[in-house]
Amino acid sequence: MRKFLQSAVIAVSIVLFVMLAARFLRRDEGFVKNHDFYETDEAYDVIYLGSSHAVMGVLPMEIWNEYGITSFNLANSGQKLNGDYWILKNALEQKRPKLVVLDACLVTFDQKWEGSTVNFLHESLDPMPLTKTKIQAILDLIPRDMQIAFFWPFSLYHSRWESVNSDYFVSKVSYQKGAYENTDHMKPAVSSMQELATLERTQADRTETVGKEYLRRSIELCQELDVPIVLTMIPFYGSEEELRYVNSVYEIAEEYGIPFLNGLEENIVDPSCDFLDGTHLNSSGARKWSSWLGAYMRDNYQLADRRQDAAYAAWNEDYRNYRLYENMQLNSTKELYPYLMLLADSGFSSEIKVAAGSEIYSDDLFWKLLKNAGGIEKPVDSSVEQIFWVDNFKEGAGPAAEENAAVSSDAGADIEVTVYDSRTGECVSHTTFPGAAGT
Amino acid sequence: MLFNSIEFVLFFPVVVLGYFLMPAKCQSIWLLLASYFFYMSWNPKYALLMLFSTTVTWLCGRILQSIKERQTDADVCRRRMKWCVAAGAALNLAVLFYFKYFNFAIENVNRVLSSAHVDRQFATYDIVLPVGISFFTFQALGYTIDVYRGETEAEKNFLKYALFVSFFPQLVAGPIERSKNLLRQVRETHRFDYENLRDGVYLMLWGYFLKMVLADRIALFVDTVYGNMRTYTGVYLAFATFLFAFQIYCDFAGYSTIAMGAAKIMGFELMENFRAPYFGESVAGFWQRWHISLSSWFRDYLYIPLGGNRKGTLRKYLNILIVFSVSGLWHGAGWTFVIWGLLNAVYQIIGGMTRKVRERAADVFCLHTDSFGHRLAQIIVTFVLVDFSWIFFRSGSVDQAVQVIQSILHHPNLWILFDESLSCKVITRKNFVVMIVGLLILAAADFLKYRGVCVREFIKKQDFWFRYLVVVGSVVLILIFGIWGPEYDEAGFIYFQF
Repeated sequence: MRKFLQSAVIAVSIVLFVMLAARFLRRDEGFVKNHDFYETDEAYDVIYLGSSHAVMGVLPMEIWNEYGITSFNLANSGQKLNGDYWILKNALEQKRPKLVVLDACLVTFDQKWEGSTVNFLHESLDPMPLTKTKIQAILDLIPRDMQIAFFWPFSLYHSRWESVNSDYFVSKVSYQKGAYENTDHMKPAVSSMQELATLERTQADRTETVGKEYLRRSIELCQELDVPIVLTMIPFYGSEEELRYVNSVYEIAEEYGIPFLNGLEENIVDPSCDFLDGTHLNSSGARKWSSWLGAYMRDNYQLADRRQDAAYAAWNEDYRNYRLYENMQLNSTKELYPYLMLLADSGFSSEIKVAAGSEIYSDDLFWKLLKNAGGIEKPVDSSVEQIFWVDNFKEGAGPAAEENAAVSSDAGADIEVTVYDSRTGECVSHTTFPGAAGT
Repeated sequence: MLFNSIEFVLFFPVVVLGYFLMPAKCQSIWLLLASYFFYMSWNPKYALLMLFSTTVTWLCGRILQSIKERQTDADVCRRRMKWCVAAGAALNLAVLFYFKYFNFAIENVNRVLSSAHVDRQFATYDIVLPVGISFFTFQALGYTIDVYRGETEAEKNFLKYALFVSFFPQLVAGPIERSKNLLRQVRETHRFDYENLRDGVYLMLWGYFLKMVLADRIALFVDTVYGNMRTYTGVYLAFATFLFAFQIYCDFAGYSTIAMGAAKIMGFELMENFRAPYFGESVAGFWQRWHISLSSWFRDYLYIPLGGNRKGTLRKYLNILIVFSVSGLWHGAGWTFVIWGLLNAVYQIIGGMTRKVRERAADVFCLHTDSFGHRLAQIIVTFVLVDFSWIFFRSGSVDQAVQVIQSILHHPNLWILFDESLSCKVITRKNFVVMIVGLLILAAADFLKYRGVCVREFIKKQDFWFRYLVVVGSVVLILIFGIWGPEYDEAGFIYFQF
């Protein structure tokens, strides 16, 4: 009996220590991103699915702030429509949203598996609880020789002992409800892009693809469970081939009698300011798309505004934390264009001073970004110092003293920007930039 | 199904549990089924080869027994038995030859034809070498010879004999067991024994440490250097060759030790295959410690029948040359393996030829041959000689082996021993450190073994908390520091968003 007990103690200890090691060495990104969805009882009115377009393009916290809709973004980079289907199936087994929004941009994709996106699949699948659906998902999505790494990620991550550093000991939190806000901006050469291309709707590619197969399965799943689903196409620069596939989504949506919101045909984003790279929206573009989508959802799906609901007080707290994160993002942005792009945020109000005679007066992109941030037009007279305001202050709020702001100033700089929190008026950033373009 | 695969981790406990829960009569059938399942996980078709070898040698055994029992004339009896053994051996070796050496033979014939300017070349075949064929063929042949010599009874029960040939722990990488040892144990009934479990677990953990933490980590270094000889020259190659000695040792001994442990858990005692080989004080001594089951197989079934050392010194040297060339070929169908074997034979022959001179020199210079310093020098010289021969074992061709030697001699980039090149350039520094720490642990364990201390026995005598730490700590550390599972590439995991 004693020997049996000793063996049992050893066996249990091995399991516990291996679990501990697995927990310590795992990649945290997916767990942090999806924590609120998988590890809390929080209910969501809407869930979003899709690829990188959606994870960067839909900001649930902005939608909360503007419309009081609770939502979560389960999209991820490289996540194909077959991955979306399984993640949706699992999500609907856990939570019952009032609406599913699925971005169909990878409808063109005709393979079940793409090796280069394996890391993102880990981010999406690793945090999912081990259920029958997760097992089916792994068996369906992952080649046989790699399945073990998805069933037991420690088999892959155990060798991360080599990269252990102080980050491993810091617990990470995301307040973005699954989204990934991109704070970069296209380089000037690319930002001359003007209009998004579109194609006559009749020019659709009707070839069946793996993407279409799983898109249909996702729609059918939602309809079976009586959960409304909306298809979207978040704005991007598409090739003619891609646009033919985009048009084919109209036909699929019509076939199932569901809406398809084609962002390429709506005048929502400004191609010269709102893209990271021509394909993915940056923070400014994501805010515009989220705002537009939020309005559509509010108007068409009777989603309640829960901002004043005491049961959702935690969301307001999360939003405050989200704003702190936004402040941090702004302060860590050192380049002029991305910084100005980030000012296109109703959470920020800002004062921008441009020195007399600065070279920046001749920089079109600079003025475009200022216009994007707050409708500021380029002044006629560049020989005097100009002061502009982007005024998003909420009622009763106004600029406070700067003593708490993170200040990074340079006496000889041409551009001086002071940013305030639109709700509280607190100064959150004060920085200067030289006048030479592109610096 | 390798021992360090997830499949084996699931397979083995099921087999053990089933084995001890079975009625005694069904135990061997259960193990036989498990062994064939284990073997068929590589290629189901090749199980037929093992079945063929099993059937032929079992029939040989039965025929030999029958000749012995029925034939009264000793000469006739002996002659018939010899024919029977020869027929069994020929059939088995023919299969082994076809799968392992046929293409090698054709390549050599083509080479001869080509050098003789004969305009005819034979095509080689796409033959996949069945896993473990050299091991089970030799084990089965050994049984036939044992029956012929009367050292073991011919097994009547085909299923038990089939289990002896296919016993999964030692099926694909040894130890090559003797019928006197394993067949006897196959006939016995085994009950669960806690001591066996504990011993077996300790052995398996040590084996996994050797294989997963050391052998496969050293392989990262050695494969990189040998695979990029233009980049890694001189001391890199010398160090990689030094490491290869440990890679092959840890790989082979690791697998054998896991086999011993797995068998032990089920109540089977397999022979020890490695006994601190690099503490050998001569090349002959090394071979008494290295792959003992094979060395002793060659000694018992080839060297002694050839006359051993009973027919004069010259014949003895010839026998050594024959045995080690065959041993080389057993390890692989290639001239590099033959040269490796021959080198080891030549070392021993030169050692034998110079023994008197060396003894005389020791007398003249008043050297104490049993002193620590003298023995250490012998160990180092032996290691250097053995390690030199490993160059041929590791190289893909004789040309490559020659290039390795030339690079070591002609690129004296000794500075890499003093800057960080050696420890950072080939594998990461952290991996290098783990490798060195692992090698030090191995050296300490082998030194204790060399001095006759059994670490396992020492651990068993300790209190529970210590044994607990050893087992739990080993499992966790092997899982973390071992090279296993899908390949992980941190760079490939760098978070990008497109």
